[in-house]
Amino acid sequence: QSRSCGYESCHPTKHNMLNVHLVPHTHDDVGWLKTVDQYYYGDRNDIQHAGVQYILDSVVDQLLKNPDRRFIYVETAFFYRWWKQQSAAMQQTVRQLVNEGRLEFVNGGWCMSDEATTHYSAVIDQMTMGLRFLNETFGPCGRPRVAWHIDPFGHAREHASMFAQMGFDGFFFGRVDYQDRSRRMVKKEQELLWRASDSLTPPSADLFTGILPNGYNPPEGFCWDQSCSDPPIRDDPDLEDYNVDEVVEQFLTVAHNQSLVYKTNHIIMTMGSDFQYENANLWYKNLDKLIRYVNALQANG
Amino acid sequence: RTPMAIQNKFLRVTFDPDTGLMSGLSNLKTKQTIKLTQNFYWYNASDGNNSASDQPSGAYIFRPNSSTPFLISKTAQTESVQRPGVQEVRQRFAPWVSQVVRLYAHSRAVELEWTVGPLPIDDNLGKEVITRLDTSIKTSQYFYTGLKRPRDAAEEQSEPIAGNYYPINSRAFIKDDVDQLTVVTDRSQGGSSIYNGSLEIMLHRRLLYDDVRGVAEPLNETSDVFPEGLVVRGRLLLFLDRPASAADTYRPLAQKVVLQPLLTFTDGDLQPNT
Repeated sequence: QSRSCGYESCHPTKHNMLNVHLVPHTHDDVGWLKTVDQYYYGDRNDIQHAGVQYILDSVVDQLLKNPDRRFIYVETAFFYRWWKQQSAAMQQTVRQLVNEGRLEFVNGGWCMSDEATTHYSAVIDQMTMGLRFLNETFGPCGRPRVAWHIDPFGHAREHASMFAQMGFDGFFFGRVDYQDRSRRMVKKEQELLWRASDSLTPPSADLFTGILPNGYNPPEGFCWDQSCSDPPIRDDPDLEDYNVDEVVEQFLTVAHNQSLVYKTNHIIMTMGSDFQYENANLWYKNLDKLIRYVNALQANG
Repeated sequence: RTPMAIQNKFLRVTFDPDTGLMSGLSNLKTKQTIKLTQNFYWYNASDGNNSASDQPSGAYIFRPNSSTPFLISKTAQTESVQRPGVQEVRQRFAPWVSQVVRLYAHSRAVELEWTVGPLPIDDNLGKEVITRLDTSIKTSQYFYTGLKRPRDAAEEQSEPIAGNYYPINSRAFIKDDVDQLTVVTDRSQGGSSIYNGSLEIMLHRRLLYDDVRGVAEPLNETSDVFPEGLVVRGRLLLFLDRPASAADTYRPLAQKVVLQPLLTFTDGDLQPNT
């Protein structure tokens, strides 16, 4: 079985151009408006439309359709529930996706923990529980490289310290104080090295930290989940409302504007949101086209 | 009657006989004494009808509609219990707020066991209850939650109370050059130092409006057990020390609170092999 997960599985980039990293993801709260098991099964959709079992089914199916596609998954509490219901054949298929870096786990804890009210020992317990499952199930290829706290309401230094000590290389989050964010955007300080301990010898508690561009949502106009109503890419000139040129131009504008508030020629776009990808085809079909048409411009310079 | 003081070999806690409130705290080993008044207050939660912003206080957001909290009672009715292993002053502030100030014979900290609830809402006002410790410690704008927390850290402070609240997981303290007052909590709570020499901790909240962050319900906890509103009981451990040596006390104390002994019971005689 071939293994090229982790950093080896990264797509090539272009060093003399702006690289936009599209990161398809689903933010699956381990209980919020519904219980964890209601979210898993998609029960009580009258409260909130959300069914994680369908999300994982759908994403795996779409990843198999195109080896260039990537997905990150975060909450092991849900993944564990899904995994134990899969057939041996499906488990083998998913192992292959993980081994090839097409399905990548980030964070990897049982949940995405709160950082304000949690005790450090409980955080370690829940992270260990999730990471242990991933390790036992997928081995080294199941090991997350970055921590992913896109939704917690503020961030504690101790959390960054723990993530650094767990061996994470990076940490991404979405929620910071609005005045802090404004200043960081102006000064291009949305990416930083967080020294998370006064007592540990550097670099033991140093963690690369990135503040995401739009919380954890896609840029405006580019949400192609079934829960969104942004226009799809209509690329057949024989049909009505051909919009490829328009979408490409809009994307270049968004990417350019975003690049102005980050330091390098690599920027991230979080293509997903709460309980998205229940019908992953909608997302991937449009993302495939977006990538194809935007990159096609490079051929012309 | 309120005793003038309770004390063990480490601490002396004095009370004001007129009010029934704590009035001072001494460390008998280091021979230091501070004035210390402790009482309970509530912030009136914003209902969102406000010229500055329509943001109500809710499950996520703390937004008092005034920076001055209401005092629940100027005085406490007290009752004192003195036993060889423990001394207690039981304080009653209101039908929904009471406390036991307890000093065990071998403890380095005085225990404040507070009971708050059900928070009354028949006046249609959401309430966010704090206990506040006002001391003679000459702090500047800092208090500590593990990290040093400056007052009014934001460039533009739009909320003088809420914008200064920080999460407290296990301890918070205020200090000057000679005195440090440390509070070890039994759960995660919010807290701040709004005034120099003062430390406040939020104990319980009951709100009538949703704060529009998705949960779509007011934080208004009731149940079959608490049909009139949730009653909460918890503990704060308080001690006074020199700033240089306080950590030697609060670190083991905080560990003891988290990793406390688990008691198990069995009926009947203990067999040698049980």
